[in-house]
Amino acid sequence: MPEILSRAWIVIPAYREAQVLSGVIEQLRRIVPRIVVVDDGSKDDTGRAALAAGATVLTHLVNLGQGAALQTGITYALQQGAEYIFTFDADGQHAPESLAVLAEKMSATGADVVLGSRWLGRVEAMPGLRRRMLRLAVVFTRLHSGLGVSDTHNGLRLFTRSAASRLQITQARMAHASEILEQIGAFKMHFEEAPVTVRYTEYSLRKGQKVSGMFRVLLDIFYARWTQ
Amino acid sequence: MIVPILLTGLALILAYIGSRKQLSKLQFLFVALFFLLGAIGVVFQDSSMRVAAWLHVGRGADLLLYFSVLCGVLIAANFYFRFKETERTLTEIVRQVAILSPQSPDRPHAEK
Repeated sequence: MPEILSRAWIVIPAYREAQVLSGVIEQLRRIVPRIVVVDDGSKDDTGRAALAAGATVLTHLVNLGQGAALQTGITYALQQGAEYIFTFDADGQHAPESLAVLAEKMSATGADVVLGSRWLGRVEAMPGLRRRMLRLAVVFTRLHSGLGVSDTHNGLRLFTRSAASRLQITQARMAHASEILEQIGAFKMHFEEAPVTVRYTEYSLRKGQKVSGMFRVLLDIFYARWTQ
Repeated sequence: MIVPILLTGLALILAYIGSRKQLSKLQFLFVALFFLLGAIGVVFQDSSMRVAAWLHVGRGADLLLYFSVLCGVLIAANFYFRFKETERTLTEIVRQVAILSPQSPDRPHAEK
């Protein structure tokens, strides 16, 4: 096991994921034992399922959005002394084996941040509309952040402690993915991309971003730019 | 008869806003200036026409309409920014509560 995995925490933002979350955590715990799930004000048993599966659970009293949940989890993991922090999606679309790929990339390159890229890796069962939407988002992100990334809005990332400490996610909803890239650029962090597998299931598609959500993300990004 | 009533109304509203002390001095100055312009518009009813002619916007009534639309937009923007600020505060409070009461398998009940 790469050393990074044994010294890392995984942060999982979760909103109404009781159905799949315990399966995801059980698989992950075999690779990285320390997992914190941020239950983002779910009305179902998300928190209880995560706890039963062996994760530490932080509960947002009200639903704030994925960006806010990520920041809560990262802040907590840092307080617990995490040396490395993974972010991972709760809906089971990421393959747990990808953690080792990210860790190896970080060890090999000494990067501050390693971002999972589905386009360098493998994508299973992705609908055409989703593919086009994401391609468009990548083009936009490249223009906006100035980073030559091949993927965007991929929830699988690995940060060193110092990189995670510098992150300030203020975008409570989905625009945080662009915000993270923007900050990686602004702080001139050394980032690398690693190939990951993203598996689309009927469940993850139902839970995932809708095309209409893209416009809200754009609006949030422009608002943040304007008020900076 | 309507002019003194309008002026008294304006003065009372301004006095009420001033007495609540929720505005900074600068904000109150702006509101007072706004009311003063309103009072001038009420007393010298041709003034809005003259300003409108000077600005080439047709009638005085048109000028007032544009002005009120502008005010509406500014008020909406003000509320929007306040809402965003409140949202940020709420996020921070909810985050701190979450971090202060973690649940883990060995401590399933949140610490109070």
